[in-house]
Amino acid sequence: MKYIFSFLFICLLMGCSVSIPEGTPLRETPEIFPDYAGVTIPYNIAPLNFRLKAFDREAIAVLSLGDKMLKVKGKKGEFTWSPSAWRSFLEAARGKSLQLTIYINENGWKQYQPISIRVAEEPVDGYLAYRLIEPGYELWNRMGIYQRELATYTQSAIIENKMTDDNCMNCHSFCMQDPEQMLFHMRQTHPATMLLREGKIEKLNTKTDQTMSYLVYPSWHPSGRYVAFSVNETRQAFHVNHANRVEVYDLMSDVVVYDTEKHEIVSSGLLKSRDVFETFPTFSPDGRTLYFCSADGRLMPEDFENVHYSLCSISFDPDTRTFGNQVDTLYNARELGKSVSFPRVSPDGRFLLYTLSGYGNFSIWHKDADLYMIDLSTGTHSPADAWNSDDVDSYHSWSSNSRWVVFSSRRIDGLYTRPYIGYIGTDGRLEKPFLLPQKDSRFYDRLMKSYNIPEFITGKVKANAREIALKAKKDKGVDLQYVK
Amino acid sequence: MKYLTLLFWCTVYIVLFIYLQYASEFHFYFLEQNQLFQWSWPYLSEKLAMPGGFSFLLSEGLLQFFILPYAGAGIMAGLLTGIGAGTYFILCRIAPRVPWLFISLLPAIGLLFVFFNFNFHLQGTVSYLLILPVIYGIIGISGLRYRLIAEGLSVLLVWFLAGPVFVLTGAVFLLYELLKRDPGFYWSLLLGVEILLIGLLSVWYSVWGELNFAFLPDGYFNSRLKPDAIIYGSWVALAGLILLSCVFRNKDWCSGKRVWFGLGAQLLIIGGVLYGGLPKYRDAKSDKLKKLDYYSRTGQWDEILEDCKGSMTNYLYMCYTNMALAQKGQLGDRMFSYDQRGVPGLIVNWNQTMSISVLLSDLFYTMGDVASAQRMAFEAGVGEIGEGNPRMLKRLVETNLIYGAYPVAEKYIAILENTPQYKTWASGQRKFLYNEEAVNQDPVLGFKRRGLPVRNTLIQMDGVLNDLYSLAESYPENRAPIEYAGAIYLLGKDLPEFGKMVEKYYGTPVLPVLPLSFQEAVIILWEGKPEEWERFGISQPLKERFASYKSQILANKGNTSALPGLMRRSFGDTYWYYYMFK
Repeated sequence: MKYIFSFLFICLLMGCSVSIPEGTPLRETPEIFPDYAGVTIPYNIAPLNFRLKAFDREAIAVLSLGDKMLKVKGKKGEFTWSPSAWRSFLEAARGKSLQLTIYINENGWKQYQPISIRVAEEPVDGYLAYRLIEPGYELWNRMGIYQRELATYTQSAIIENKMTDDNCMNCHSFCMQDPEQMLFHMRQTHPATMLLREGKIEKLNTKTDQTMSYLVYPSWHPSGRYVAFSVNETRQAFHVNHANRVEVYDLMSDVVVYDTEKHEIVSSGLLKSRDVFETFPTFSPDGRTLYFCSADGRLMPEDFENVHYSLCSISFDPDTRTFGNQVDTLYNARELGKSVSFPRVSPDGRFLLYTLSGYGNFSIWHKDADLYMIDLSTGTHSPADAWNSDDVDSYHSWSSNSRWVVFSSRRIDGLYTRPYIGYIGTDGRLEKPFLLPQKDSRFYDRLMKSYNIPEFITGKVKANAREIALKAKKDKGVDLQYVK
Repeated sequence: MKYLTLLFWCTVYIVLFIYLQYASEFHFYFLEQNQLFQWSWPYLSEKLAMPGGFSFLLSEGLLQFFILPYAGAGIMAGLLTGIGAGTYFILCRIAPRVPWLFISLLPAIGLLFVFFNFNFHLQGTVSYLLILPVIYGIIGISGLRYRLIAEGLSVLLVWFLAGPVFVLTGAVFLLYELLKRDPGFYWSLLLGVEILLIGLLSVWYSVWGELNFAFLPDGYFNSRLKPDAIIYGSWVALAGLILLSCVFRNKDWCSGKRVWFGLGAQLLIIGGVLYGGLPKYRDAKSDKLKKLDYYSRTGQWDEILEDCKGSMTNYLYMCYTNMALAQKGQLGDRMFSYDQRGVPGLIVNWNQTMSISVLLSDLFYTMGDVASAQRMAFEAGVGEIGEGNPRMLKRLVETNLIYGAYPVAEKYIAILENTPQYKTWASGQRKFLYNEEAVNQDPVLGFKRRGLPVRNTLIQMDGVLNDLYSLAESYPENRAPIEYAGAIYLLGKDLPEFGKMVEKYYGTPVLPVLPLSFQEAVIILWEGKPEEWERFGISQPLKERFASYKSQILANKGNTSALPGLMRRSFGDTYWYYYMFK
């Protein structure tokens, strides 16, 4: 019997071992999906499984770091790394570059030119939160807010709308990437904002007589006490013949700040002007500046292509809840002719990343939308060329260490947004981003939902979905007061 | 006896098949679009990993064949016969000396009633069928201890494989044990605890969103809607029959007059249930709509027109009729040959349901409004109660090919290639990918592409009519937009605006000649100005017909009550009649 076991064990070992063939060198690098050639990745990322785009026969992939090697045999052109071997391999590769060499057996073994993958010194936050929803139009069906452990492929639901009578849920937001401080909205059925903090769940009724709508686009104050929101009268329309397909626009909008301790909303005349559309507020990491987008009001929807949002800022005193008397303009849309959305400041306060497109504010539907960076220490603006593509590159968020940015891009098929993670050096140098890896390299081909609002979080959201749902459904909620 | 039983169930199958084919042929075709069964391991494994995933996959796998003639009736009759026979064998195992033949059809009849409601998923029926052999096998175990263990394990297994029907399984076991009262039977109460625990934990850990989805057949119903009480009928029926069989388990009703009395009573009950239930639950009023939907899906425009002759009281039927006319290029000429009752009969309002989204997608596609057709196809897919809508996915492929959005069209093609029913069609579309020439030369795709508006706007920013004008001006060869625009004015009896339209477009490539109904409208718009008739090329026979119309009106003007009927006989197919009497 023991001989049989020994024989089986040897067979297993032989089956696992992959020998590198002598291949005729090819001049080109292989075309793989996802495109990992030249990307920079964190050492705590799940294995970058991939497939050859145009080859589905015998193939071998070899990842090398000096004399260390990690090998895997392709299955119909698809390569799946062993998670444990990958983990230890990447640990050893911190701050170094890996070489990925692919051998294909096409009338004899051939060897592609190697692909380089750089492993950054700095880790990425442990989790990514996002909403999964069909990329469209007015209706929705099943949706949810999910979290993905980035070191593995494990995805779990923070909450799904099957718990809350199939309502709409959106705009999840975290205070400084903290999974313990989160909020999101529910719409249509059980409309409210659910605020999760220090293990408690709060249901907020956010519509007041003095504000035009429920609270909409959020951004937490770093202290956790305040959350800036826009309030918007939003509409959606469809293009007759345009690559952008859908247009989302505001009829009017303002910016307000919600005080989580007093359940009060405050604002300023400079953020609540009748003739100006103000939206997408975001706090600086020191909590003393509120950035937002602002456009001259127009007749909508007729004038939708002539709405251009500037990037502005106003000072904020968290002790007195008061705003400054002056609005500064960082990007002047009147002069420069384009339109800013989604400003986000890096947690170290050094950079501000925003989306720039031809007009309007809902840049996720604008094919020309690209990411732009401001170095706040010098005030210089520059396009994030290393991250941008020919298609939409839009919503983005920073990692807690300011070295990684996750952003939504429609570059794969032009419709379904996918999360890309890009590295930024302390000097502001951007490196080629990579698509969030999945166990199955065909995962994105069959996924009929978009990744919406990808947000890094430092750990797992532990709140129980059922408890949140019961609170949403049974609780009366706290009515917010607008304070002049 | 064995052969008689077999004969009985064969007869049940045949009767059910004939009835379902007769009563529900188009219901089957309609149901088929509620699935997107993909024969690929990632899809299968993802579903299998979910509680209830196994029965879900089985039901999707069966549902995909409903598009084939006779397949739906054959499958559904098989499922229901299986449920009837399964129930029969269980009852016979508990009380073998009772002739259970007819009454064991009760659960199947309950499921037949809910089958007519398209919001009830086929998974509910498949899951029901799955538990019957499990119950049959386990109640045959003689030792209580082993039986209880098997019951406990099977409840868990059923939960995982078939979803909420685990509650019914557990309830049947519990009932059986409590009534059988073997020594130590009280241990069976643990089954109740198990059911509660599984259900509550399933909700706590978000397997199902609410307690009713975990514990009741609501889990097999459209979660956005509240089901009728009939959904519980099959569950209550099985529990009731188990109760009955336990009560009668030591009785002998298989000899003498009792057999006939028993069977007669059962037949009476079943007959009564069918007599009362079928008219109530069959949803016969939606038959015609489903038929028209199928004809529209398969491009059988003549059948639609044939089916919509005579009086119609439903705007949706009129939408299909007018769409069929537009498809045949006859909307402007023949629309009043069919019953018309206003603008909603041309374009029905969107109510956000899947079926209206599908209709509107077809309608806009007919008009050449590709953007709206795509939007409605997308909404239909999203609003779908199943995993997707293959019919609308095809539309998304087509519309994206028309726009040249090849990567996303390729994504949808790849998904459809995983479906056994649509694989061939999907693969056939690959020739259009990244091939402008192939798209341009295709009679449908090329035609629609040439019809895309040259100037982009937002849909309905300036009203639907301006969108139609824009389509008509961009590609005058497409007659549908201008004929729909004119038809909107005619059905709305807005002759001044109609006049402006023909003034603007008559004689241009958009409207080189006026269709018959438009000519009729021109005649009454400029009734006192025959020179205008000449300008719009009104034909001599039409002028004569109008003269005849007028003279008949004048001759019968005192007879106001009979006038509409009289005029309808001779002029019911004219715009004049519609304008004056409708």
